[in-house]
Amino acid sequence: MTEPFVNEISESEVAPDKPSAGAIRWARENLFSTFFNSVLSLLMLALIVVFVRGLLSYVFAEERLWNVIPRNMKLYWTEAYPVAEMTRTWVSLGIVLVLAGLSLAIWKVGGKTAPRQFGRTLTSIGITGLVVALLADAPSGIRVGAAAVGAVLFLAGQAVRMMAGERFTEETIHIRSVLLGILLIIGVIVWILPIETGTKTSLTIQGVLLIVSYLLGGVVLRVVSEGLARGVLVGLWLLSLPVVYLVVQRAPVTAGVPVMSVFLPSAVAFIVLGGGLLWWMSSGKAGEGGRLAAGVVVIAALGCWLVSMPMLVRFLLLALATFALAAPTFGGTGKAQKNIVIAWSVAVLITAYFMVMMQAETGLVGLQGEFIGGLNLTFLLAVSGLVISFPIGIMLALGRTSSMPIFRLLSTGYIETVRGVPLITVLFFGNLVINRFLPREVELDNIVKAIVAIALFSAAYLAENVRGGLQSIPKGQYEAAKAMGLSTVQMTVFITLPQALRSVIPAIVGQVISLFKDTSLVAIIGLADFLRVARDIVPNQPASLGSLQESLLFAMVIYWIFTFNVSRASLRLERKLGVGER
Amino acid sequence: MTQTVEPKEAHERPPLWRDATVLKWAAQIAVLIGLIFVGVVAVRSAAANLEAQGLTFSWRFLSDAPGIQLSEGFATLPSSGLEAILVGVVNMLRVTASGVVAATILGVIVGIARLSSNWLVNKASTVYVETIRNVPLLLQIVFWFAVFGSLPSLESEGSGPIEGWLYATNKGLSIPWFFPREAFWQWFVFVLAGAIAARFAFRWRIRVLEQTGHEAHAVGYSLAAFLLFAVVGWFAHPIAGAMGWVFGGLSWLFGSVPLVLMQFVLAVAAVGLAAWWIKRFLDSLRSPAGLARLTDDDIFRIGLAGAMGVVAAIVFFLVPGITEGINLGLERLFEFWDSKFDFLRTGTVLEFGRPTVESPGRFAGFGTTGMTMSGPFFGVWVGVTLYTAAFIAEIVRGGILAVAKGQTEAGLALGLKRSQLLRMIVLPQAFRIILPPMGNQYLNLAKNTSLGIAVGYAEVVAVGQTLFNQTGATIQVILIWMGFYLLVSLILSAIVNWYNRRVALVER
Amino acid sequence: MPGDKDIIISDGVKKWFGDFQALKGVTTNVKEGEVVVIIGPSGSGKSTFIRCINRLEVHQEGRIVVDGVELTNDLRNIEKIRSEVGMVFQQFNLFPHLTVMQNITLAPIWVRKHTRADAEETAMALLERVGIPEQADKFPGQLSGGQQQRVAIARSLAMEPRIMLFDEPTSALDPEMIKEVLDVMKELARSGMTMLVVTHEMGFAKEVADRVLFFDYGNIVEAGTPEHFFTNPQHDRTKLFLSQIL
Repeated sequence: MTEPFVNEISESEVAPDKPSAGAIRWARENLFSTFFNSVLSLLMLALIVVFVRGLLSYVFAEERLWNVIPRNMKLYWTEAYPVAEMTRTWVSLGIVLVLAGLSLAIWKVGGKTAPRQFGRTLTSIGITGLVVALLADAPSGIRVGAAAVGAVLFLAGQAVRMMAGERFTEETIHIRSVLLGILLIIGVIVWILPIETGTKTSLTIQGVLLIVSYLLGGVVLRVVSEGLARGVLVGLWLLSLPVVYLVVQRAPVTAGVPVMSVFLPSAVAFIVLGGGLLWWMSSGKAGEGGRLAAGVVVIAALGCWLVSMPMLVRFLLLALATFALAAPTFGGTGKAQKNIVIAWSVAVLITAYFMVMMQAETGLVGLQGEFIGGLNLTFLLAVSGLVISFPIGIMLALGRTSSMPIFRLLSTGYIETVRGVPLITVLFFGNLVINRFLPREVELDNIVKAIVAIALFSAAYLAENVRGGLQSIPKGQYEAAKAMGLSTVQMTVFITLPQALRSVIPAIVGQVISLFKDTSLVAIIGLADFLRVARDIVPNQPASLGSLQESLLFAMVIYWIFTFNVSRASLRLERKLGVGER
Repeated sequence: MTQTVEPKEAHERPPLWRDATVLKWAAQIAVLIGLIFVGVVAVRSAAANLEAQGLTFSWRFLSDAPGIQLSEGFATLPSSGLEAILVGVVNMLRVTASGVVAATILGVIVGIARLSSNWLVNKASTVYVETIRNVPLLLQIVFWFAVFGSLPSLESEGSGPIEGWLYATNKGLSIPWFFPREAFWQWFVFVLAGAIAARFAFRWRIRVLEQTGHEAHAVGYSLAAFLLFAVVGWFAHPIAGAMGWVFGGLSWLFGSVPLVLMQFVLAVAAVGLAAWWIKRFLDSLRSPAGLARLTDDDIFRIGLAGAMGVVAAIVFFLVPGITEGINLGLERLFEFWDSKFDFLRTGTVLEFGRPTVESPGRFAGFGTTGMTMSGPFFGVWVGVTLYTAAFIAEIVRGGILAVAKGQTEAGLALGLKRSQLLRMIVLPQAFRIILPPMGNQYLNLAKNTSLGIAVGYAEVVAVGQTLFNQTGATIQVILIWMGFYLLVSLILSAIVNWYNRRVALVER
Repeated sequence: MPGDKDIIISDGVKKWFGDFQALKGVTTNVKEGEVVVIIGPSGSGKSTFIRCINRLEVHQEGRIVVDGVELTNDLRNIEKIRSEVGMVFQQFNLFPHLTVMQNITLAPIWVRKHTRADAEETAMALLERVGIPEQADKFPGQLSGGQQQRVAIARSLAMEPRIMLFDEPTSALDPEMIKEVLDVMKELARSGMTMLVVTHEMGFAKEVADRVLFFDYGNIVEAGTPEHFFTNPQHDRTKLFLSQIL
């Protein structure tokens, strides 16, 4: 995107000075500097008081049914997932948290913050509590409680300022200890809230898992090199998606799958024959013959979707085509040859394993097909949509910037068409029409169709972002790469794509946020995602009638927490990478 | 100097399988053929699937009566599928237009507030932007719709806030409004002419200003010219009824022109357009020294343009239905406009209507008595307005900041006052930066109105869904949707491109 | 000193950019081990000419033969030529996301198929040759211009090229850094490398060039030894150019 996006300007250039020296002087400078400003401030103050008071009376009104929300937590998170099997959901969350803890440690996330910042945050939360106590039209218990918490936090904030003294603006507080504190507070709140003991225990275990894996990450870093640890972690993250959704949550029963008669033989055949082919192609002696062979494999990989054959073979052919295209470029030495064949064997085994899992019936009792719902489904759609759209988007971007006119025309046509229509039409296309264009025996379930539609949609936007990055690379980089004798593929993989992707990280994070928000549209085509649970399923239960607005507000808060934090993190990352300065 | 190494022969041609150009084109053509092949197989498989379900792919549903009822629009019981879609289009454009206006106003205010030195104003606008941007729009629309649903119900008497003037109920918000009557369009001709006259007046006074250096009241003159035309037109509008002859003539022309002639005209136009493009392209490569050498890319472009022109021409002859459709459409269109004009027809231009409650719980019909905003419209409108305004605010803020940095100092150094600086230096330049991304936001807003389907607002997507549920014409409706939105995108991006080019020219 | 074998043959090379003719039939031969300096006003086609020699630009008429292989559309030849002809650019064009070491070893590993250990050993030797072995693990952005250009030279040498092309290698450098780059180039010239150098450094031309070519309006206007060139130029345009530049 070439939009002059605003993220680059840091807050401090625009925002007025923060309250620091003397509240009265500060107010005079920032609120009452001129007559006009004073009038504006008073008007704004009145407006804010009216609005906040209205909001608080709305929130604390008698008829609000807030207890609906804790009562239906399970529905919000997992919708109709069988209660007896909830352990599976907890395990999934555990896997993600362990990986998150390791990543936080291995990428060394979180630096230090200044007491000034920390104290100010505490103070402002405290002031918020006092405002609630002052303005809320609420039961006196809530008002007293809010006032007490507010006062304590306010004093704590001031205390931090006092204690820090001169080192007020020095960055001395570790963010990770702040995070640990927050985690502990959440733990305490969890044990106070009126929820089932089982849930309390599970949540506590998750918290402990997060902390333990963070510590473990530190240990790992001492044993292996940083690069290796990061590489392995990226691989684990990629694998965690199918593991969580195809294996852990789906509880597959492999009895009905022809593992011995179809899967094992085809996997072995592909490892042996494909491995042999790749060995030859990567030897450096294949020359034009290798190019021809790669072409044949690609055609076979595309053509196999038109004839009926096991899904596994189709996927393996697709993988083989990718490897065949890469083999001549990255082979050459004996060691590289061996690595390619090993990578190929692992890829075949992983593909075969997940295909078995996919074709197995789910062992969950009473639920067939769409058993994933709520926030769980929202995450599945966002993450898998993103993962699938990545390679497609990159290919489209390369096509659009390529020197080959037909590829350019096709990519441009696709990108502009998809960007010109709303997502909902693409979702309807996926939901109602895709199946009609596919051979009769391919029957996609609704979630898969939604993922495909979201990925195809998102790919067009991603392609535009990546194109922006590719076009920002100086021409000299291409020339130097060519002059060194790198082939086009090598140049793309080693030189241009890494630079392009790095320079568009902020744009891509922005797209991830909108992708996350956009998944809510699947509610319209009837999938039970978080929004649909909040709008239709929870408020329509007999015990929760009339709680529509409460439920929707809760959903808003949850969406907001995720997107706001991601965008904040992206801003920090951007500053760290110094992308804005380039 | 002697040549010691002599290559075998001059200009060796490499073997085909190693020739970079040949390989490049072979790969492209292979992929193209592969895609065409996949497309053919997919279409055939779709045909087989449709047949198995007992459906046929036809566009008959556009002319057949659909037997559906729409919640709002100019025809709630459409007589044909096409009319139903048109109702959806008009509804979509209504909410888009109101959304664009409201979002621009709100967005600019918030954007400037984001830069305010007043702490309260600054923080309040930041909270607004950060809250709205980070919540899914669909959720917001659904929420506003739910809020609307909790308004008091509509009673025939005693509803309010202001009985007879303003109603805020769960059946709708209703306010008094002006409604165009039979002579409106005749008067509108004068209004248009007034706008053109105002433009000329403005330019003329600016020229005077530049030549004499005296204040020439350009804005006053143009406003006066406009008002003059509007007031005169209010009384003289029967004269503009003469426009009816023009429209009538055009309608007759397209109704009676022989099909073959029209086909021929269209085919010539298609080929001519291609030829014009190729000529322009070649001109851009031509130099005083003669035509430059064409690369394979150039040849491909010329070939493609030519092929598209010829194919279009052939299609016009092979499928007479297209030409018939164009003829019929233009005939109907001009017939419609003809009906709005009649030489020396007198009548009212505008009529003032107050909201009326017809029977308990219902507002009187669409069109004459009060402007009623329905719940679904409210949900979509408030939703897209607040959402888009947050993005527009960021664009406005970025635009002003981008200019403000260096230019402000330069302006102050010249001795301009702060207000002059903002008006004469910063805003015009910021506008230039702001407009292209603003166009994108308008386009997003237009596309986002499609979420109206979630609250039952009868826009294109919702109407389409009702239609295909009734007729089974899923693929056709999806094609219409995509075609419609692509058209909207194309028009908007054409406007933005045109503006960009104008700005670029000024810059030089 | 130059050998007998013509390693580059250029015969009537013509090249257009759109409607602009950049090369109007350039004919010259370069012998193995010869150092040729190309001078001329900007826009005279001198850069275009040396970029045609490793096919960064594609000539449209005439013939270029490098080391017995004619430059055509033949993929195999293009790959062969590119790995035998090294090039150093005005703007260095180091890869900013890779360390100095990775910059140098990338092509030897993936094009020449050397093992990583071998490639890194060669790279260290080259860095020592250009005088900055201690910078191996830094990123290009952390180096000065002169250091970057020396890394760029090492990067080209890592491919063990038979010919080196230099496209105004010192034009983007601050004056105090020009010398360190020129010293490396002089050392290279003395080692017997075939070099084509586009430059405005007349001192360099006088000191190491075997032959000087003067380009103007897309053609070679005058060619000869440095002595001939700087003491007794024949052509008016050459005289004018030299009077402006010296």
